[in-house]
Amino acid sequence: MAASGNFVRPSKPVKSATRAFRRQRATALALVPLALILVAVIVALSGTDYETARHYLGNPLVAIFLVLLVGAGVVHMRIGMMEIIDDYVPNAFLRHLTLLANYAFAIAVGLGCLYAVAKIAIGF
Amino acid sequence: MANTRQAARPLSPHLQIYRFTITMAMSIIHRITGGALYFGTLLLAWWLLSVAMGPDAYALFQTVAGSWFGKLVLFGYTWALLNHMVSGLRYLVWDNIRAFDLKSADVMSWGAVIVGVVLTIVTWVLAYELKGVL
Repeated sequence: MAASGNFVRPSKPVKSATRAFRRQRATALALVPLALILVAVIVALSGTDYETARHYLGNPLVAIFLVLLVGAGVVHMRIGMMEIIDDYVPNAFLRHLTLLANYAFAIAVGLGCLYAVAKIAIGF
Repeated sequence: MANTRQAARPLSPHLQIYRFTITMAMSIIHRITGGALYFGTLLLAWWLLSVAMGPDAYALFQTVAGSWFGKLVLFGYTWALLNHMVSGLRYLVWDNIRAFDLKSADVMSWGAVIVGVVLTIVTWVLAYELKGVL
């Protein structure tokens, strides 16, 4: 493999790896009920017309649920993809580049979802 | 590197002679479904943004999501999410050094496969049964 001969340096200090480990488990636990609620919300809203979808997604409880889901989900998926990148990209430069892209993707998806939820709930 | 393998020393077995175990299959499936869900969040973002943007954007989303290809992707997304969730519960148990023996690990892994599939089917049956309730 590419790692033979040269040691694959960790992309982050060990302390932050422990923090990532803990965060991954904490968000995993939070995402169990959140994912089940998401499935229920999607089932309830599948095939509904625009007004109905907007009405229910604009409900404060649903909006708060979506914020929690997106918050936990974005952290969980960012750490998960970081683990995959750390495992499969031995080249330091490429790894840092993909890790950066990983951050950018997570932030973009998170902000996109939160913007939509805010716009639906508050209506600006 | 070239001189490290001198005599007829035993070589470590390679992938094709490993016996299939459900734990190894579920391990890689967990990673693959995780990766799929990662990009699948774009679908969630698209859905929410389409509702935020207005009836036209929502109609486009519905047309794509309602097509056979859209449904196929959504079915796969549902299974990936539920399988990843049930599969992940095993890791939370194992993180605490519980149920770590081979028998328990196998039972939990097969259980995760079955529960993941059952939950996916239940979800889709409910989705069709409840259509138009709201």
